[in-house]
Amino acid sequence: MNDINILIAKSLIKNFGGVSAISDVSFAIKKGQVFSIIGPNGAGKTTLLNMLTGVYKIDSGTIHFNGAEISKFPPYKISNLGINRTFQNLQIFKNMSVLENVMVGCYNKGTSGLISSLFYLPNVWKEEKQIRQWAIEALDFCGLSSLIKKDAAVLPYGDLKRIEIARSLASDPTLLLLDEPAAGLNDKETMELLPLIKKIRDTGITVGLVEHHMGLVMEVSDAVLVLNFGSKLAEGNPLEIQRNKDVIAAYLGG
Amino acid sequence: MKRRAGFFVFATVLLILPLIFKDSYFLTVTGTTALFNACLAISLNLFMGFSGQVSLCHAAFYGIGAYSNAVFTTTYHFNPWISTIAGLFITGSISFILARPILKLKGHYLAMATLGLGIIIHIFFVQADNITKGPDGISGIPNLMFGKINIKGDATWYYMASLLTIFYTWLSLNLLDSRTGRALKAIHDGETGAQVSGIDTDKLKADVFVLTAMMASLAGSLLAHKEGFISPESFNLQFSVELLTMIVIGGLGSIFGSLFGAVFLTSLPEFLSKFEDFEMLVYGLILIATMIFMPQGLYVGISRFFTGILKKLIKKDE
Repeated sequence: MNDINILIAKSLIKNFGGVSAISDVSFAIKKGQVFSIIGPNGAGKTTLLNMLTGVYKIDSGTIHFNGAEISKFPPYKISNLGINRTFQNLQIFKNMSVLENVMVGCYNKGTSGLISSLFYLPNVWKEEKQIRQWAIEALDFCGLSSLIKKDAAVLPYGDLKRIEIARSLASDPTLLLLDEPAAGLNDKETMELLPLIKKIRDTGITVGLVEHHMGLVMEVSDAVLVLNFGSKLAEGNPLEIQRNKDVIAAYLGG
Repeated sequence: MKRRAGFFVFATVLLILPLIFKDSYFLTVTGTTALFNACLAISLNLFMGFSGQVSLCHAAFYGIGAYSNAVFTTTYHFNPWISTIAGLFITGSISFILARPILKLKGHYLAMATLGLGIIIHIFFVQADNITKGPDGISGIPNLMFGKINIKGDATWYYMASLLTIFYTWLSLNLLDSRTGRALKAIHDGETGAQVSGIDTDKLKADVFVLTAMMASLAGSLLAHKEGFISPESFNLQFSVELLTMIVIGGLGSIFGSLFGAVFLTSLPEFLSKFEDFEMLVYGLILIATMIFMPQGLYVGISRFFTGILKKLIKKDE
């Protein structure tokens, strides 16, 4: 692990009407880390993730990724720069097979356009084979090989969550943001997530994790950011966070 | 590959039919109209069924193609093929300029905007009588020529329409099996998910809008030469709605479904004419029944019905 900051967020602010969702939050994610964002319900964790990926426009503040400012970029540009994500309430393409879902994740690695696709020029044919291969590898990596031919619509929630991770990984991201990957999973499924996140980190991908499951967060994180009512409450390594009085108070309502 | 096999069977059947039913009025006249509608339905389905957008101005783009050929060949005596390219260029430009602002809208609002656009273009056909000759339409459109071969007669046009339908089907099947096609389906299922997967959804939607408009325009250009006479009422809002009905009845998101829907809805009135006064009533009842009993569309519904029977037969054998 080295000390290069892969993502730097400065003084981020987001309001919805009169409600302040994120107020003056700054943090930095180091390359190769697992960086977790935790906080009670409604603390603004998902909002923050949406701001980082361009899904929400930020009201003020700056985000730098790999040295480039991405604060005003639309989601697809941010994605093409190497930030990919999953969703808390899933964004699975329900009319497609599992393999196709993950193949969509490879979109940024392909080049064929509308015209060449219409006539199925030789480069499209070659690219299809390559994309299929990449998608199968990503599914293998997440332990989903058995589901390749299934339709996404018929699968249980836990599988869909992993398929989203596979789809994100298929794009070869430098930063992967996971929005509550354990939400809605049972204990067994959650504990299966742990080695997967570690495996992702070990391939050199930086992981941003928004999560409620403290066991998972404390086990896997290198750094933790705690949000409460849209503001930064604490930041540090898991041990420091567990001992932090403000954090304990926020969680126990003290 | 299964899909490709279906495609070859379909193409062969389409081309062999006239050899089986020789001199069939129904096949060459109603059939040709049905195939023209199928071309429009297939292109509209790319935009609606696969990309999940709404368009109520498809007939208008069809009309621009038709009028372009009618006006350029009769008034200015251009070559029909050059007129066709001019039509594609005009449709392409109009749809390209309007695509971005229109496609910012979603759902009902998008339907309203395209509805408006379709009506405006139709009003132009009716009112700009120094160009379009107004509501009377344009007659005396010359025949289409392939070198020295004159394309005329019902049977020849049946083959022309078949080739265009086969071509459009081939294009659509290719597209859907590609990176871009998957991106379109992704937009349909969830735009946010598509965007974070790196898809420039605004651009892609606009591109497909232009593509499908131009597909409609090409079909329109050919239609002008087939008919020899065109008038605004062939390209009104009602026809756009009819096309929409075809792809919904056939099955949104299925190319063969669009074909099926187009052929079904075009030939249905021929069969229903014996009901005379009750024709529209029966027509409506059939549509309602289809939507109640086969909400996924006729094509999907019927193919499921037959696979169900097949499965039962296989079980009995065991």
